[in-house]
Amino acid sequence: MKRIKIEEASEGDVLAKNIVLENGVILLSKESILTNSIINQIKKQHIYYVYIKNNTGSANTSVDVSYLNNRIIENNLSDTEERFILVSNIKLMEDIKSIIKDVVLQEYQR
Amino acid sequence: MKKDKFDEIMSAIKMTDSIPSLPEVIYKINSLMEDDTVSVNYIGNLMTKDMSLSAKILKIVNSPFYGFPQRIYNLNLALVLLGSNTLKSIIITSSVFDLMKDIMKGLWEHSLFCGLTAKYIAKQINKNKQLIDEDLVFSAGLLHDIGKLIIAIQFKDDFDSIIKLAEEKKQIYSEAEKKVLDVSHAEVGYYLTKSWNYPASIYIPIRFHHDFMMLYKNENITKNYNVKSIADNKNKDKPYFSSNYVIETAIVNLSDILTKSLGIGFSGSIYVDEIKNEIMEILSIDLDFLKKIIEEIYYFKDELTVFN
Repeated sequence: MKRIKIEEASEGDVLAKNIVLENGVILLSKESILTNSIINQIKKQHIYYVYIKNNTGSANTSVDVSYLNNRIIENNLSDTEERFILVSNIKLMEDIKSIIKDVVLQEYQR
Repeated sequence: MKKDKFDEIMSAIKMTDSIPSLPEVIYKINSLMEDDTVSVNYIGNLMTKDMSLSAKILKIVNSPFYGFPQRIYNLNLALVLLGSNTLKSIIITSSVFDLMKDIMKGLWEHSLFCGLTAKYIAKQINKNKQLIDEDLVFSAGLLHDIGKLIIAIQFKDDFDSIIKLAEEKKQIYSEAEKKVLDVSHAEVGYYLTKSWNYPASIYIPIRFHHDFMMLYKNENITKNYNVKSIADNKNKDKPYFSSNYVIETAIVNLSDILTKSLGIGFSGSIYVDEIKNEIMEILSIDLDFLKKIIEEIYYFKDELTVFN
């Protein structure tokens, strides 16, 4: 599963998670195959990220996706680092920080 | 210059019209719940009249994160199964925080995630011990920052300077708050929830969610007092009863810090505060326990959008 920006989605991508609107209505259920018109509909709902399954789309898009993924991971990890600056000398908090970093990494590796 | 706003804030609490208007329905439900002669059906029907409210309550109780073993489709049943305090907290939080979305983005997510985490931790600690009331810690977690709302609405300039100070000087919110105001959001939340007739098991954790060590010392807690020793000595026929709420406060404090650690929502400052060793000791938990909790709650963050 990968989280991608809606701009990066392309025809043929398969949703890995439901897209749920703010009012709780499911816009699209997982396993739906994206088409250009569906992608436009999603953009109209102000949804910026979607979860898609791996090994879909052309070789080209998967390169883009992995580049984007790396950026998201980097941002996520540096945000975590920043949040913990006040407790960097406390062993328990350092341990918690590395647990959280592992969890973040695992999410994108699945 | 620090401003002494204690009296001003306290009178704001007393004057209910300065607080974002709680829906009429809450006042009605509040008084009806205290009246034993009123049937649950009647209260349930009253709640059902507010469609968005009832939809929100059902969404929360049916979320996998809340972890209720069965699906609940009607409010009467929710009322019986969850108890009036939990429903009251969900109603109050969702209505008040709805109005707050523009003033403080992310506080609702922070509060809800904290409440759900508190409940999840209580559940894991309880296992077959049944020491902690999971729904009460959920309510305390949900409402722990409600004092920030009052400060943000009544003293917007001070509130903005607290947030600005925390960001510039890289401080946790309560440190920056001390430099701007003489009264803390925890104290405001305490008076507010007390005035709404919540039980001490909710307003004590709110009061001490940043001052755990103060409560710990006030209550003369020793190292022998912890979840494990209480469970070992507990009379199997009698439910556990505590009058100091140190365990509940420890859970809310821990959940607040874990929510910030994961960067869920925003509660005034991004910086994470320390989890005191005393919290780990009193809950009889270790790093392995925290690891399991974090791995579990992390995946529930995607559920939060459903509640918006």
